Amino acid sequence: MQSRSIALESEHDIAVARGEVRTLAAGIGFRIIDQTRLATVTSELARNVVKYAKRGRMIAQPLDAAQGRPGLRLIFEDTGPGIPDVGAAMRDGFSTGRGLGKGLPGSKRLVDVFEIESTVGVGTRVTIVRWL
Amino acid sequence: MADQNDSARAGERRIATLLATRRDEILNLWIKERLEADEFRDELISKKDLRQQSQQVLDMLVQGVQDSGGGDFDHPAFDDLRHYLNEISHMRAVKGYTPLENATYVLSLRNVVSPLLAEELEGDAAALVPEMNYFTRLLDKMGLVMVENFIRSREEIIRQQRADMLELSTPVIKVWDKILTLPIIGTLDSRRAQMMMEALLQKIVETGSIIAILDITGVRTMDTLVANHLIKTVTAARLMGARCILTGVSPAIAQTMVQLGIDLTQITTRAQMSDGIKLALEMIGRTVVPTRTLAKLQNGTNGDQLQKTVKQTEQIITTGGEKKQEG
Amino acid sequence: MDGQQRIPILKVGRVLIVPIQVDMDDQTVMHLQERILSELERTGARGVLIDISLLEMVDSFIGRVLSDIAAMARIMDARTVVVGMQPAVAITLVELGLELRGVDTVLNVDEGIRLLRSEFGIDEDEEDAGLGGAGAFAEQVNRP
Repeated sequence: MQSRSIALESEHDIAVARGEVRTLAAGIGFRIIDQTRLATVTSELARNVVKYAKRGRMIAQPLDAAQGRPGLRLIFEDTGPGIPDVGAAMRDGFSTGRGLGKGLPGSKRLVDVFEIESTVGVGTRVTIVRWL
Repeated sequence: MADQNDSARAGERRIATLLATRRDEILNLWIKERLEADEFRDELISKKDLRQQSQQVLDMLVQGVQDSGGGDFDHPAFDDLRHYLNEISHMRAVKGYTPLENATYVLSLRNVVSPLLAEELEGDAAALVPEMNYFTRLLDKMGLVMVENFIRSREEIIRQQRADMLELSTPVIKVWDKILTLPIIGTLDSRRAQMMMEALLQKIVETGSIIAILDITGVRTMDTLVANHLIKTVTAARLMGARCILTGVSPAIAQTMVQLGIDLTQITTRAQMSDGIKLALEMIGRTVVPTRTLAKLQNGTNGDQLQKTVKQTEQIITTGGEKKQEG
Repeated sequence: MDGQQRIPILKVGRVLIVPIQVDMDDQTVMHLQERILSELERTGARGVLIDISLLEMVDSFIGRVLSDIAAMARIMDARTVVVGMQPAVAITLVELGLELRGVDTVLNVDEGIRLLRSEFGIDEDEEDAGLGGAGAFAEQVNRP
């Protein structure tokens, strides 16, 4: 399957992204519960991009058995302010916005792989994978 | 593969001619040899089916040798035969053949054909050796296909059975209107706990149940992972609008939980499952009282009335129509 | 916003029923919060039933707004009940670490009405109003 790229520039794009991810996940054969996990993670991470960086994009890459293991990889990248202390941002209860501080650590619990790279002044890239 | 370029390559493979012209004879010998083999079990396949199957294999083998011009087994001309062998070995895996039985089926054809081929090519040793080698190579490949697919089919069956067992081991039972029970028995691993949780929550929606009793009387050991799954289940059920009651906590498990520092104060617990059911009934505004007490409450000491009430109550119990009678 | 989705708000007795049937974007969620509060003020309703049984996802944003609605309605002397959360949504919320504090959740609309009546005493005197047949008595209050 082809990978897809979706622009994240407005709050409406968040809904578009999670709809797209749910459809992709269903197509790959994820169960309802995993479709829900993936759509929810997408919502959380896409909102971070729109809220803190104003603009960025999501890349969705379906993985098949030929690449090792079937699943879905999602990459959220932006050229925003970056996160000064990634360690702190990954702890429960941390928040700089109006959220409840559950966004990043909560999202991590919903997926199998969660990687975050961030450089202040350059941008942030979060990569997640959920195996089928 | 020197013999491939030998004399037979130019014309027809002698083995193909042999298999085609003396097919019925070979078939009879082959089946006879199968029926006499130690590993053969006649309850698995009828003689008629075995004959039909073997004839099909022989015909497809001849066809393959001819169409491939005496080529190797990976030649596309053998595709039909390969598919058919896959089919046979899958069927055998399902029926419970032993791996030995399955593997020797094709290989035994060599014992049947070798003497006939030697007889056919008597005095022509130069032709016999390459023909024999060719035939042996084909049979080896065919045997491999059978074995490989047999194993694959068996693994598939085991996977399926494991899934079935998981499902069987999470029986969610409706014990009363709006009350479910989930008796958990045996060892809980993460996967099973996950499946259990999903099955319970799904059943809550389907039956409109607002109370779920999780009974862990049959659970031998408890660790942090499993306890966390239990807590997760209870919390998710609460979000859906259902309450959970945990029953059957053995002293050993109670000790473990406290030692592990697992906080169960948010979860309603009862020692016995019966206590859990009693509590659940109270939560939906029902109670269990002795019928005589009920009769006295309703009708003082009037004997006739008492009899009548007992009858009514029995009827309530058997029909389960407690709603119409209440109040 | 051009793609503004409209969520109906129905009034039955002294209860507002809000059936959410679409995946809402953030704008729609915020707009819905405002509309529920203004309908509470306009109608004097004492209970809010938010039916999310068709909602396929609740993230931390929607979760927070649901908590906010409950807290704000409470100040306006109304009780909020969230109805019909799907198992997958509930499991995901728990894993996310959200518990919808301060929000009462029930399995279905029947249980919601029962809760509002018995626990909070709302519409108790309207047993005969036939809440079961909500359609006939519902007043659609979709104002722009």
